[in-house]
Amino acid sequence: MRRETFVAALLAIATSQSAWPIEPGAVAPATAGAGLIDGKPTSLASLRGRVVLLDFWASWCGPCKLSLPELEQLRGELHAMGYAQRFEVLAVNVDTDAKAATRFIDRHPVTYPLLADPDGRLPQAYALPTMPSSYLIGADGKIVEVHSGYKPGDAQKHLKPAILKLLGGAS
Amino acid sequence: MRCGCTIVLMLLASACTAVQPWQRGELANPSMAWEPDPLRAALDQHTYASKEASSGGAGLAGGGCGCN
Amino acid sequence: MSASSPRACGTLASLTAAALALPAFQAAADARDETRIVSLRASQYLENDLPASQLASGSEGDRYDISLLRLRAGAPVFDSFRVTADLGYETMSGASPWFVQPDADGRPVQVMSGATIDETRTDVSIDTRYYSDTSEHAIVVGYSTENDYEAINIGLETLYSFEGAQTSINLGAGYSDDTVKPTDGGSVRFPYRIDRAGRDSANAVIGLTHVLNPTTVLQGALSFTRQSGYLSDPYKLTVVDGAARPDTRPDDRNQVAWSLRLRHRFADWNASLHADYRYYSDSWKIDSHTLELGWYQDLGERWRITPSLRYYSQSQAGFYRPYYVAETSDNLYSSDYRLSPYGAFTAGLLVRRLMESSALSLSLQYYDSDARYALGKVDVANPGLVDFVLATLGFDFSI
Repeated sequence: MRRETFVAALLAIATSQSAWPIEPGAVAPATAGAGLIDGKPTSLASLRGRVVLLDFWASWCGPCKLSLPELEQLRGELHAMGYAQRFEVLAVNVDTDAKAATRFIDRHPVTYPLLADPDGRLPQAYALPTMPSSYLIGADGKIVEVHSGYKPGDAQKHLKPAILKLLGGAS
Repeated sequence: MRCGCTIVLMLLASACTAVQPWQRGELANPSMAWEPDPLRAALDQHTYASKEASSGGAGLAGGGCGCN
Repeated sequence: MSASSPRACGTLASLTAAALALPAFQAAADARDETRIVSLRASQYLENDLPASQLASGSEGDRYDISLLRLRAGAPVFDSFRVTADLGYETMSGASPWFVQPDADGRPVQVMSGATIDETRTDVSIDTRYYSDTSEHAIVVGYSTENDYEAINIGLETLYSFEGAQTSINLGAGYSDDTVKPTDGGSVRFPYRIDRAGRDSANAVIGLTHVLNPTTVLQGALSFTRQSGYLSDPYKLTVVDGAARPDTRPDDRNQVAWSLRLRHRFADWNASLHADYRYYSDSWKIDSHTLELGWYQDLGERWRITPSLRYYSQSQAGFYRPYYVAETSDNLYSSDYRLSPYGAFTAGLLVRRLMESSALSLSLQYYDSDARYALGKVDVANPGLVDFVLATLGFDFSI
């Protein structure tokens, strides 16, 4: 390989945002789009001031069948504890086929807001490491934790204490 | 020959395309599995291995039988 | 930046991948997704009768019929393991090719085993698999028993994925220890038939899988097998200079197979193309080509229909002859149609109907072998070449 080409390739990689996964401490990239079910504008910005668990999922992602119900349960518990105005789950669906996504929601219903991103702009912006992945975002809009992959029971064992800590620290 | 080189180059070029985790919806389709019906595939393999001289392939050979 | 931004190849790519420590696409996804499965397959295998023109006068052309039943149950165990157990039961009856002799014109004709053979085979195997985010490791043990055959086997498999699971490598090694104990072996009636013998087989596989683009996956694999021990067919005879001799093959056999498998998704058509090719070669001087194509067409939410076509062609074993006019210097003799040169086509159709948590399937396959289908020119066709129908009814259930 010629040296210039090599350097150019290196530069291309170094400057391409997508090559670098988002690290804790960074401000969460702009996250907005149409609601998956109702088509209404849905965004992370409108949830500013709350602790947000931003979850990326797809109907074809096997573990999502398990992770979505777990997040729904976790959200229900936290809202029952009185954090309804201070915590929310925002889920980004990356299916290219919206029908597949809505069918999935029919089977595994959730009450938190769902955002449709059929073009995959948002996972690109976050440089999503794997499917599913979720980002714990503080009330200040900064990323606190990146959660990649799914492990059974993680929502209760790991996410819940982390969210409660954030909520406690903010009060 | 030139055609062959072009094909190899095209394959190499496409091999360089990063397929991101969120772009794998089509690959996750059940019909894209190596063997969508593993039991039928095992039966086929067993039948062919007992009726033809060849055996072996992408998976392990497994146990023998007196079917020869 | 486009979604499918190209990334540098080769060393550079591995370096960046390592530097960024990209977690992989969950290899464990499938294990955790499908909770518990039970699958059942009931098959009927029917060989066509041999036409009178290929039979020695007075020999009956009835061949094998086999009924097969297979049961599979799989479940996740703890968080990262999956155990799958298989149980198989077969009953076979019919006659099989015994030996080939020349007719009055020197043309080879088949003599079938006179008596109907009734046999059953039972086999069981257990696959225990461990999944991590980027790897998969399995141990498989199996046991198979028949009236006249017994086999015990063990296999180890491992799979690692890297580059965000865009590429993965799999390695496998297996060993099978078999015992041949022919019916009426060493009896007065069949003095040539051995009483008992052993054979074993060691097998190694290496494969590389790469996701070419969002709709295409390619896999290349190389497989080596070494068989040793008694590799002849204890029931078969050959005709050497007008006299009968037991089927006698070398005591070892080295086999190499390399295969290339492609899966491509036609999303607009709701279909997937499967294309598999295998080249096989062994130390008995047989080589073969296998090409298999399958079209998986989804029709709506519930139905999938899969037509498939397979072509196979093999050359003959070096020591094979339909019959022998004189003794050979290596003292190897076999007239088994499996070692003869021929080609074969299989046409298949699979229909699958999906229900809420179960699926019903029906598969039909027709196998037609003929010396004329071979890639090379065949001078003398073996009269015992087989044609068969295989029908399978399947039921899958998941909890």
